[in-house]
Amino acid sequence: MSVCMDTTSVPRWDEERSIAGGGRTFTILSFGDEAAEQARNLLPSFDGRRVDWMRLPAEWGDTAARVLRRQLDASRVGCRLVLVGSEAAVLAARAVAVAGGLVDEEIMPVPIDTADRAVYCAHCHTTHLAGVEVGRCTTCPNCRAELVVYHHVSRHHAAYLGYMIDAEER
Amino acid sequence: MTLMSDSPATNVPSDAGLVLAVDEVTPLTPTVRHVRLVASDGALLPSFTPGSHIVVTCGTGPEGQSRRNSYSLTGPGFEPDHYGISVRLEEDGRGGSRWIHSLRAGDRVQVSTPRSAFAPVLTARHHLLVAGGIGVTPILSHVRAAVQWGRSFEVHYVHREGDAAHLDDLEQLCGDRLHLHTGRDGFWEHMGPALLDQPIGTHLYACGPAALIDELTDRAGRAGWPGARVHYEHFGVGDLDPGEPFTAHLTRSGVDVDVASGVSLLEALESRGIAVPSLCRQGVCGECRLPVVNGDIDHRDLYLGAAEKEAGDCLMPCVSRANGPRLELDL
Repeated sequence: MSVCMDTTSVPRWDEERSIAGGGRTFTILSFGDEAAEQARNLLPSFDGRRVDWMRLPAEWGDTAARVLRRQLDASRVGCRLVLVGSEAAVLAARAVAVAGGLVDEEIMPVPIDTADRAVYCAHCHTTHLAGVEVGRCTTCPNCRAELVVYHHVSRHHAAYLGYMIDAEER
Repeated sequence: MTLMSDSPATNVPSDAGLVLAVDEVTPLTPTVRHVRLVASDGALLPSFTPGSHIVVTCGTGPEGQSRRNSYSLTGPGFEPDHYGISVRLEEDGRGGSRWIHSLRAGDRVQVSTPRSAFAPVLTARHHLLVAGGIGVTPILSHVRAAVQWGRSFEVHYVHREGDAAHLDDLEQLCGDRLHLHTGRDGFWEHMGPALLDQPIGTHLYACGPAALIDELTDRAGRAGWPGARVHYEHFGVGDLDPGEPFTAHLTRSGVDVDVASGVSLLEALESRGIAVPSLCRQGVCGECRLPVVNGDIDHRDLYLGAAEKEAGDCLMPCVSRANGPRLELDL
């Protein structure tokens, strides 16, 4: 499958790993132990600013979403959000943060591991995690469709688009 | 797909703009007049986004060229029955505001269709609106839309004592969401903490003199506001330094155009019969942008972004000049 890197929405994390200067307060969310280690290494770069560091389970879930929403509700313009975790967790947290009012310049994504991808099934509208490369296939655990993982990442759904490999032959 | 509208389309087509009639001229303060413009057949006018402006042809300047000024629309934007502009008389200006102040009911005025360059961000959770002096005009338009759509907002209006245009309108629309200031110190004492205590998702909008906008954006930056949350519109572009003379070389036609001190590049090109589309002629609208091939540029416009100015491959000839003896244009 040919991919045009100029137009694909697959994240180029090196380019996205930036944040507007002048932040007054920083919230770090780390997902899992490996991410916590990475977050600890980041701490010195926020020296002198108020930092809230929250350690969450490696996998994104309702608890993490609740923690993030509560934090956003209590925050004021001038805050920054640092997300350290798997690509799936970082994308999911980013989607909640944007829905909660943050803009890209206020969010620093620090993905640590991209083996697992969140794949959105275009047929039953559920998302699952799969250790699969872009362009390869995964089976939707909900509707059993054999999905191609397409090189499109929805920031809203926080997942790669998956569609039935033989959809046009049926 | 063809879009149809019930509104009768009897106004002059958009590329030619509209010819409207002055319905009423109302003094708002000793220096500000409100002009209500309507279609002569009473038809509804094109709708506009809050914060939009129209470009009004305000007679002709001393060299016979049309004088065009941009004025923000102050009235409701959905299928409006009139366009309202409020204009402060600039005693030392180029004559546009004096021309507006001389208008009488029944006079005809050539205007552009509305242009949106200062629109509200629809995903904002809260709108922090700041008006300085006659910069209240686009802010009033934002307030009308915010009230109509139930958006969260607050207004900070700094004005000279006894010279607050549209104060009645704002008081009626805003209630306790309106904060008034007549002194610079009091305004900043109030704005400083306000910038530090806005909920996530707030966007800041400011219209006023350049000094106010510069200080506000500077303070917002220091309070941690990223650029994407800060929106502003300048007015009252002061008269610029006449500048040094230079030669503009047009690479395609091989023509050299001499630009004297005190004459803009745009005027110099026009006087040689070279037509350049232009509107505001004060470095705001972006209409007259020209490609530059070679030569240092003294950018004096408010339209180009920092990166575009840095690139040095275009300029706004209405205000910007060569930073040296020669400039090569791709004309």
